[in-house]
Amino acid sequence: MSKKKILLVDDSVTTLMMEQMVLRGQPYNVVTAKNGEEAVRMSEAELPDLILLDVMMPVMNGFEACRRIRQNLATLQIPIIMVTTRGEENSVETGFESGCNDYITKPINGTELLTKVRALLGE
Amino acid sequence: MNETKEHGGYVLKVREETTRALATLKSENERFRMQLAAVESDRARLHQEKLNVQEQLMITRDHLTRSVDDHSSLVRRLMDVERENERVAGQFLDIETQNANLANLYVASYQLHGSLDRDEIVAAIREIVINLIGCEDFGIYERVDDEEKLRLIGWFDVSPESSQLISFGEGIVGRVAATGEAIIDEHGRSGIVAAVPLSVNGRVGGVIALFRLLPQKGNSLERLDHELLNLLASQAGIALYSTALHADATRRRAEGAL
Repeated sequence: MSKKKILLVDDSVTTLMMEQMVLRGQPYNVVTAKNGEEAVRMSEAELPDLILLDVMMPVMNGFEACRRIRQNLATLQIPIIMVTTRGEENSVETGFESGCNDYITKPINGTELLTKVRALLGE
Repeated sequence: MNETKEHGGYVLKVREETTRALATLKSENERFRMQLAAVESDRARLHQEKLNVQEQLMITRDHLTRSVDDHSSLVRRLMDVERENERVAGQFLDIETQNANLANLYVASYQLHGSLDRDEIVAAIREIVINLIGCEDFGIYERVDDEEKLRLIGWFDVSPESSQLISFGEGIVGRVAATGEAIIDEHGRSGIVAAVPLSVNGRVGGVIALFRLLPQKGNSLERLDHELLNLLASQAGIALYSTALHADATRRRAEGAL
């Protein structure tokens, strides 16, 4: 059985590295992008099984990237978890309006991340 | 003569009737005897059947008792397996949490020692404080050469008064620099959640002060946050000191080349 592919999107090297470390021990292939624009491009090129998308990023923020991924027929079904720095209702609401399936807040809790990833991958 | 003849006929008649009655009785007797034999046979057969049923009942009862015992034993084993399953699931969760915590510490350590460029190290400390601890208002202070003063070299959303030079002993940040002892105040009554000294060989070279955590943290430091602060206290100072040594060595080499 082929490994499922996860696209991690964050401009913070520290966060990307932490997410990779948590997911590395699991049966996933991980690819990364550093901003929303790169995420939109890579989601179409790589067709990942799940996207972990940071909100606050340069070039294009996570909300906009999420909207564009949802507008593309090839990528509109890919589950997206938004990573928000603030867990306030506005941020979460905007995330769901832009089409995300779930969200987690920073600092990322590794166990919570794995639980949500597994749930959205149907594991 | 006639009277005797009549009398003889009567006796004969009675005798014949008696003989017939006797034959009938014998026949009846034979029929009853056969019926009795059949009843005896049925009784014996039923008795045997009763014994068989009783024996079967005993066997069934034994079987049932064994089945109930087996069932109870299986239920106990199932409960044991469920308890074991819960214990293993708990252990698995603990291991995953430990792995995640170790991942945080590894990333923090890797980032702190991943460069000899001062700006990159300050940026790494900023990223650790923002993304791994979850602080939205903090300052990174560095000792001014050999003076007993601190200056702000990295921050996020810090208030302007915090950016002034701070003397050792002045306020909480200055007190941490003077004593070399960390201060943790999770309730934030002092205006600072945590202040940790950055030491190298017992000499305080700076202080990291966390003024406010992200709302979702509820101003509460978890065990991992304490470990990250300990790691920053022991490694960030060394990392900054190394960048200074490297810069000094690079400058001397450049001067020597001239």
